[in-house]
Amino acid sequence: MTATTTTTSKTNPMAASNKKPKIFGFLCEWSLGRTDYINPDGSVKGMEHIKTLKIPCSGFLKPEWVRVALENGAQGVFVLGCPLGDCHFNEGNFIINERLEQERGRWVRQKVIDTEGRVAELYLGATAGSDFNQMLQEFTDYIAGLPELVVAKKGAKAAPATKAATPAVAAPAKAAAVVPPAAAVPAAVPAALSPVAIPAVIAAAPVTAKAAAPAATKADAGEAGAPKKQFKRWEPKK
Amino acid sequence: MASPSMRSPDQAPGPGARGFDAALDVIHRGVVTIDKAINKIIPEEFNPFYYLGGVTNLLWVVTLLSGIVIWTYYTPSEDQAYSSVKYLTEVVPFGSMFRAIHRYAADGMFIMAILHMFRNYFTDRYRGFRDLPWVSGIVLLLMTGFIGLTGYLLVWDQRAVVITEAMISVMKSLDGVIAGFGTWLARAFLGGDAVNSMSLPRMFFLHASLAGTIFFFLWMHYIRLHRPKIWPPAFVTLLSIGAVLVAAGLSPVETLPASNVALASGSQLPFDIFFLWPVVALGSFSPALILGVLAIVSAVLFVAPWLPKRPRYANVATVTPENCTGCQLCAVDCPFDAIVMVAGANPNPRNNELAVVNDDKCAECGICVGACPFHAINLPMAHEDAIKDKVVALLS
Repeated sequence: MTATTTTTSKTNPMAASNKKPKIFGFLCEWSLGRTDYINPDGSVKGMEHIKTLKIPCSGFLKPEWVRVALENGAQGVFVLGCPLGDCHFNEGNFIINERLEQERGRWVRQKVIDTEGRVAELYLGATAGSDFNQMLQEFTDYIAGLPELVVAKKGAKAAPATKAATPAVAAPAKAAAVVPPAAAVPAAVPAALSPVAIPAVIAAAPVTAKAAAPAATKADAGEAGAPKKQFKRWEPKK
Repeated sequence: MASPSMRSPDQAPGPGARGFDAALDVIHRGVVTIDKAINKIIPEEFNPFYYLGGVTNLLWVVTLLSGIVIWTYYTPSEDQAYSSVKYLTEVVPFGSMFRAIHRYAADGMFIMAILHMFRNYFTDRYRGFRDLPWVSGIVLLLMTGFIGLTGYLLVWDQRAVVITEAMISVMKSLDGVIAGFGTWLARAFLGGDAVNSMSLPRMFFLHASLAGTIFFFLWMHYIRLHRPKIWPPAFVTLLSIGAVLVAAGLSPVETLPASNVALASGSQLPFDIFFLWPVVALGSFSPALILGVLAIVSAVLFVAPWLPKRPRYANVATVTPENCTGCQLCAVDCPFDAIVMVAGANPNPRNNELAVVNDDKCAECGICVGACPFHAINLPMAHEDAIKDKVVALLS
């Protein structure tokens, strides 16, 4: 891949090796955040590749922080809240559920992420430690099966203090920042069709991944169990 | 320190908690374990344990409506009360059914209110910004108990006579506290020294007027919530009403002998355990003891939100007026109605409205922070820039 572009997608080399993808989690203080599944440095016990931050309520999460995590190398982000209906603050988990449903689509259209499954929601009570570990294991496997994600940083670090951080407005310049290199776009896709004009349903990353190394991608997906469904919201196993 | 938390250690629940909070945390986990078991059977959105308050309100409305039906046939007088109830039970179509619904819905309401109270206590939803809902809830619970007790008087059968005697003895035991007060109270209750033609109207007034007053305290109960879960979801509604109907069908309301018929012994009468336990307890304990226990339990429940107190006002959401556009997103999303939009207060006149936080209602949850796209509202102890820095630091 070229170094000229700020963002690129390629076959994940981590899937081949034993290295785990970096995952970031925002934990509600009142659900599993109450418990001791977390190391003092913020990583999950037994899964040191997953870093977490405790927040007062899952509804406190500003969607742009998910983007900050993705920009800083996280391959997947999850939000942990109380079970739906049992939020300590009554509505926080329903609210974050709705916000993320909207934001995922926007991020895919803006090509921040290649697939909506990269941003997951977990709703678990304070005793669901085994479910927590199992879901995080599944999430890790799922993310490891995806091509590596590199997100362009949005301007300077101080910039988010202004209104420009609103993700609702997809300015062409911003979208262009995540354009795959022209050479990588397969001939089937007309070069004139800029990513801004591509309909929202066509995610950019899978296309580029296929263009870069179609065989390798298929093989990787097969090894990782070819995640068919998009894990957006995890349910405990019944 | 347990893990990177954005709150002060004395506020954060979990492994860092000590003393009372640690004990509450253990019980919290027990409650959540029960939830988890139910969630394996029922989808979590329909777990009845998440809607105990809504079920209580539903059963209260069922009780009220069935009570209005019964009231249309009821005559509150000493000589006609029993015969009017008998007429309702035996002649009016579904009359006995309505009586049974009224009774079992009231029983269910009391059970659900008790469960609602315990659940909210053990999941730490009773103190801090929730002190008003808790205190008004205790008032509602005591009122429910007393209204249920007076309901059994209105039938004016043998049991009603036993309950009246028990109530008079308890009231008169208050003479020991303030001389003459108990006798005055008993006279006010009966409208004379003994049961007379004024007694039943007074009992009926106590039953029905206090039932109306419930709405006032329900208003206080809900006032700090933006969208209170007043009604449970359809599945839980059908389950609750179905349970009441099944109970009413399986166990119809009994008809006891009239008050003027001599009965061998009062111990043969059936007593409702939820509302008539003080009457049953009077068989073994003195009236003063029962009153004392009730008073102490009520007093402890009333002051529970301050035993111990949850620290407040340290992390109240703070608005940056220069960034506020008056878009109302935070005010709409706030689950506690703590943000008001004040017209004309915005430093930018074009924006007109400014979000203003009511400190007393603020739960310090930060849902408004997630709502604001303009960086205009923040928790002082978890500022968004600090969170961003932490995210970057943790990922590097």
